[in-house]
Amino acid sequence: MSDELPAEVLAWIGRVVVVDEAEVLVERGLIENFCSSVEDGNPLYWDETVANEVCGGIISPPAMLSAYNRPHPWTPKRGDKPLNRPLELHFKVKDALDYPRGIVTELCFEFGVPVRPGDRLRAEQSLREVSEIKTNKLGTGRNWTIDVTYKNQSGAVAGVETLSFFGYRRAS
Amino acid sequence: MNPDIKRLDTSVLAVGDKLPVLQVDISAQKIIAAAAATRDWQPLHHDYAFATQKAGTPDIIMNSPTQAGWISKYLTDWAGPLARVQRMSFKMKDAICPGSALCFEGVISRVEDRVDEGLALEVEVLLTVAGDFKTKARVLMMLPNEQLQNPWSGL
Repeated sequence: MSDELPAEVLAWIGRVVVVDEAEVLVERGLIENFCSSVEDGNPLYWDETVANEVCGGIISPPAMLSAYNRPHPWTPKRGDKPLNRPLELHFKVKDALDYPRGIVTELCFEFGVPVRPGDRLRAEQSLREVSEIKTNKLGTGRNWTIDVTYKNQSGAVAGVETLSFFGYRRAS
Repeated sequence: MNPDIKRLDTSVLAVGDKLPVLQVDISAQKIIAAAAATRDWQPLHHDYAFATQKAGTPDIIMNSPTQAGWISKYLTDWAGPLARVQRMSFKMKDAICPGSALCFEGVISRVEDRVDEGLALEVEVLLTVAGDFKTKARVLMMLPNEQLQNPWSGL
């Protein structure tokens, strides 16, 4: 297999390739569903009085940053075919490099302005880097890193999620 | 500030200090409820037949936002709501499945007074099941200090 990257992948490095407008608004019911599921009683997510005093109102837990930009399974407008798959850029890279398998190896979140009920987030996916071809116990493939920058309706950055992947083909 | 709001005594924090251990019994309901709440419909997180027969995992597995949620809960239960998580990174070594007694352990790895920005506290969190390492996280939180009573102010 050639070590040279396909031209389309090279062209993606360092720029925003996929933009997702969230199909759902941030709202308290979603926040409470999540906090209930991980037993998080932080009053910033539940108690308006405390949240108002500490951070100006109820906020969304940081771990939900990526939740709002995942597509609905179905909508009346587009049926069950979302415009983009979740983490579309990862799949574009994986397909362009012709790797049947891909796993997340590392995740990093940097948080900015709090996400609040009523916000609608926009996710901008960019490709930071792609490694040389390497072989490990999983198989032969490449690592790549994708940054997803989440912005609210005012353009303020709510956070950046950096995901490192290993796409590979098992040894035959 | 309301005196009922939990506030950590930061004057006694030091590198190497251990946080209280948390153990959570992970059920299928916990994994599926959180996957749904993070709007993650990948079958690996709710479909046993898919997970075991197609993906080759021993059962359905906990998704990464859920792990981040439990880690965040673990830290702010200890530090209180004034603690603002600023950065979280983690490496997942092995899947977390139903039937696991998931154990959270935290150790302070950095304490840095950033004056007007508050107190930066870094904690390394280890998630294990029966002693086996599953996920390792590093979390940077901002806490109040003498100059900044509330790390959320201005955001």
